[in-house]
Amino acid sequence: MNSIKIDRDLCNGCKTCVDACFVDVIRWDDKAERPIAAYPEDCVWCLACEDACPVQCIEVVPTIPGRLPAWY
Amino acid sequence: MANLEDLGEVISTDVLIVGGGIGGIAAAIKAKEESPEVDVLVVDKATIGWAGKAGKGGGVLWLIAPGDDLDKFVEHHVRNIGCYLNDQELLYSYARESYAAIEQLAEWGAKLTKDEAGKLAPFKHPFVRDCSAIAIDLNMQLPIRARARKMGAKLLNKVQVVDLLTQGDRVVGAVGFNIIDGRFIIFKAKATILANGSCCYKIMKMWSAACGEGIAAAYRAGAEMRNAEFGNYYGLFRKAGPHARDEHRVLFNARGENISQRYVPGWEEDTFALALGMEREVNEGRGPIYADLSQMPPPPPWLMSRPKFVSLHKHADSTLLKYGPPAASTKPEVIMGFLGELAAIKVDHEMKTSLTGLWAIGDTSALGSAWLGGISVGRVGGQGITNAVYSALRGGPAAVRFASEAAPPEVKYAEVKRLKENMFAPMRRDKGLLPEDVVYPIQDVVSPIKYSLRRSQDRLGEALARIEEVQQKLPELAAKDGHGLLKCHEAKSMALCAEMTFRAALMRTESRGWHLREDYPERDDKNWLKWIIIKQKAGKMALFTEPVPIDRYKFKP
Repeated sequence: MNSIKIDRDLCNGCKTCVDACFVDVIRWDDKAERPIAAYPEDCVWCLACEDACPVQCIEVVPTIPGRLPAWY
Repeated sequence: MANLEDLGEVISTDVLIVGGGIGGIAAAIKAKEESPEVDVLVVDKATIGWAGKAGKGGGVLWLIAPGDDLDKFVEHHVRNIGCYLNDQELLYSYARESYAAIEQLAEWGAKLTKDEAGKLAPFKHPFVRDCSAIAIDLNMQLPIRARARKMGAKLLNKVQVVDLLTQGDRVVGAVGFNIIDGRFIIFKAKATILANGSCCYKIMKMWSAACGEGIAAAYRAGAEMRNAEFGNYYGLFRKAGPHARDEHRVLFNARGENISQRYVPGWEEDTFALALGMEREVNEGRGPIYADLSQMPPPPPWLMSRPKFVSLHKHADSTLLKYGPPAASTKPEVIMGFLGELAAIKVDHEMKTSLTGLWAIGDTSALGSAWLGGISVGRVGGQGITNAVYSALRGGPAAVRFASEAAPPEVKYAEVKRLKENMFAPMRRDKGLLPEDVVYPIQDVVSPIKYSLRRSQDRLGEALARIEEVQQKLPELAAKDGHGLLKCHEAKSMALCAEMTFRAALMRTESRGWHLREDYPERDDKNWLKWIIIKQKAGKMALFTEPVPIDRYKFKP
């Protein structure tokens, strides 16, 4: 499973990562007013969140190799 | 009297666009241009502007540029790629209008290859004959979304549309739910455009959005499908991830023999031949296959017109170096991964489906429109985004013209109640299967080359039996929340898409394009110059054929 590290102190609360995640891994934590990796099991290591973050406070740590179905 | 509002939130619009990727946003813009006063609503399960496939990688777009020989391309395509299963009229039209689609993208703010004078600068297509290409950078949906908003299109995020609403053979809207708070939503619409993609089975990670929900919904509503057997696109994957990048020219087996040259000696990319070759190498004990990155040619100049793409891949490279084994960054092991791309909703030249009030654009109908013929979508590299825009240019205005004169939709309480109960069934179970309990078995059946590329009656029968086993488990899917429910419906859609592909492949008893039957190795124009149509009849999947109107077309076998 990939894991998503978010530095909440560095985060400026822009929500870009919540928008950028197209597989609904990152949600918004209303209480903390910060993003939360709510469903890391569905992260696909597309790097959209990490790449889009304006303050570089997200790191996706991939599990290598991920699951790949047999092809032959 | 029972009110729809008692069941959920009711949203009325003139034109409902399901799917806010590049096609959906483009259709919204064209719809508003056609008729500014018509109400247009785009809905997506993710956030529009970041949703879908196109923005994830951008790419090289296919087009017929000024100076290209249109007739030469069409003839080559029909005879050698689509193998006479093309709707040749649509192919001509698409090819002729492809440059205008690219110009439209540029006008909307997408970053495309330009020359020093700032003019669009297409180049010879790097791996398809007789046509051109142009590079587009990532995240092109963001400026295009801004344009859609400016023109008054409404955008609704984080809502998964699950089913269409029907009034006889007319589609009058859809039902779905908000994935964050679980609210049930009823959309009443005069016209509906499906723009929520093909089915890629979540194997190519950056295309994980494409699970075929629109195709599944259209099928359940009674729409016809076409060319499902060609939903068998394969592409090179790095085992360690995240993506393979143009490595098909530098592939070696375990003995250090260059298998790129062995199986694809020409310059045109032929993933079909490469896939069969790689499988043979591994089955005959000469695997694994790896890419020797030190032998990659220098990047072409046009790659510099995709700076965000270049930077994202540098980023991916450094992550791989940090967390992957050393060889993954120098000689990565590669496999032939199944991309699928079932894109089967049957449409006419205006992208209208067989149902009144329903259009299907972009990847939902890239095979179903038959412009490609008997081949999977990946053979014409870069056609996806161009097709999304071209089909939006056609379907958006057509849907609006219909909506402007259509009677208001009538939505039945009983139908909505039934669909709501089905939709939320997974949430009424305390225990049950997780989505991956369904998704992984589906992936394991669609991926092997022996099922999806090198086909035979026996093996297709095996594949179908395994999919049917999965489908029997679908009623056990359970979800705790909106996220889980989203994944359940994605999984269900995938199972249906796999079934369509295998049933159509079983029916076509010949080999044509990328449909290879070992038990019927020859192309059979006498019996098979036909399209296979799929339609739900009395709750079952019915298949029948329609002759290709070859006498009307320019190029005949």
